[in-house]
Amino acid sequence: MFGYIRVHKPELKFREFEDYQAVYCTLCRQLKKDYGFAARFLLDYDLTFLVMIRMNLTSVTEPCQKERCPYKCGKPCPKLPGHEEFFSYGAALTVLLANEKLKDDITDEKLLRRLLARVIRFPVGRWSKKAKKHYPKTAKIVDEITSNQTAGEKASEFCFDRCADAFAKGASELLSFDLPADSARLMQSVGYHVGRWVYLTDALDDFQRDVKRKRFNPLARRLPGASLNEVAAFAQKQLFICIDQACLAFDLLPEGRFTPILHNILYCGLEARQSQIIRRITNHE
Amino acid sequence: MNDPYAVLGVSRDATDEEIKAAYRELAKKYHPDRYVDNPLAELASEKLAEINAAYDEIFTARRKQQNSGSYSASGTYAGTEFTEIETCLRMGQYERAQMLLDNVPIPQRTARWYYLSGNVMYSRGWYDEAYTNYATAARMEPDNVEYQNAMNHMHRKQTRGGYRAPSSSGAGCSACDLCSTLICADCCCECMGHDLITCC
Repeated sequence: MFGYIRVHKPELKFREFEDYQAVYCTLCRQLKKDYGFAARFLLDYDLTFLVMIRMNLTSVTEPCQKERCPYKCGKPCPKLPGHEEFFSYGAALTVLLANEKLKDDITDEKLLRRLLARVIRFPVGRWSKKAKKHYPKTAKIVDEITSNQTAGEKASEFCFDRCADAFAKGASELLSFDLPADSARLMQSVGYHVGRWVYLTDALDDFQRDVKRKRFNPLARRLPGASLNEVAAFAQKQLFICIDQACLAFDLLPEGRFTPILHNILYCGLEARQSQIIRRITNHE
Repeated sequence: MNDPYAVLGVSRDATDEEIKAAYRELAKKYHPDRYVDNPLAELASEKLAEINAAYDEIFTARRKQQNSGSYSASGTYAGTEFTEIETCLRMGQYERAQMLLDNVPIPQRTARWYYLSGNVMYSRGWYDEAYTNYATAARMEPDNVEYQNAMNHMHRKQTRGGYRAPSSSGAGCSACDLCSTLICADCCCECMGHDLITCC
């Protein structure tokens, strides 16, 4: 995926960071268990957030088990026992979304990256087929994200919100998938606004490259001929609304073990990441 | 729905300002921020929804009274059609509200149409379209407080709203700061022949 949804470490307590690492490392282990050793290279922070926020609706009382990473020279690698259904879902989504991203790279990227994407797609395509077998409804949602996005980009009348809506709606369905009705509605709202935030952040991050290569970029279409500062200012306003709305919905969810970490991500981490991208872009002007 | 005036605790003769003041008081009292992590949050939010509906109903009725005659002169729309759209919005029927809005011919799209369209867009999470519609409504009726409030609400959402947890980086005064300041003050006083803190 994109890796934009991260914690803001300066505001996190050590024991909270250990919990966060435990979710991240357990997801890595699940990828290896379900799809093989190489699948762990697809691991990212966005899906760690998804697993954590879904797991937060249940009671997670098990302490982290202190283990060592078999792939990183014995670095500490805490593990969270139990709750395999959440990690399995997260692992399936990781490979499904990675497969869609590679399909996108094969059509959009430069020659070398296209070739690399084709090579990587061999194993990822196989893993994706396996994930589709176990999670057919989830695979259908991921396919719909891609088709709706394409439809929005190719529509005769461009609508900025419609383009963002395709990804945001998909994210809301993925986050709330198979949850009980009372929490599904709130999770849909968190998912929609975090999804919209990710889509717009990615558009902002890729803005200069897309304009240079004449590729579709919703911000470039929305603000034709605008300067980098104007695009950054517009994007920032949209991103702040997304964070605000996601936080409002999140605040109504029941508290759980990971609430402080999720609070850190939504209240601090998202803004920190978007500020980093905006600073990089506007420093080029 | 209950009598909207009773919900806001005002008389039917209350002025617009009195109604707005009563609404603000009740909105503060039942604001979700006061009920975070409280098992009664749902009840507070239901109460807040009731207050918002009462406020909308009172002002919609008052506006219709003020504008009675001008809607029938302009033709088919803007009267009952907007009432139905507003009802759909209150009940969360956004798709129906959108369909009713789309049925209004372009020449008959008043400021109110753009405002309600903005509300539907906002509910769907289409914030760029929502802002454009609110801006159009505010431009068509610059004196309308409701449309200006909608614009201000969007402006507030678009700026950083104090998301961060209170900073622990040292800004502000700690106990050490207080103590050392008092000691310094005591030393200064003693130099000038007086004593701020007699025990040291």
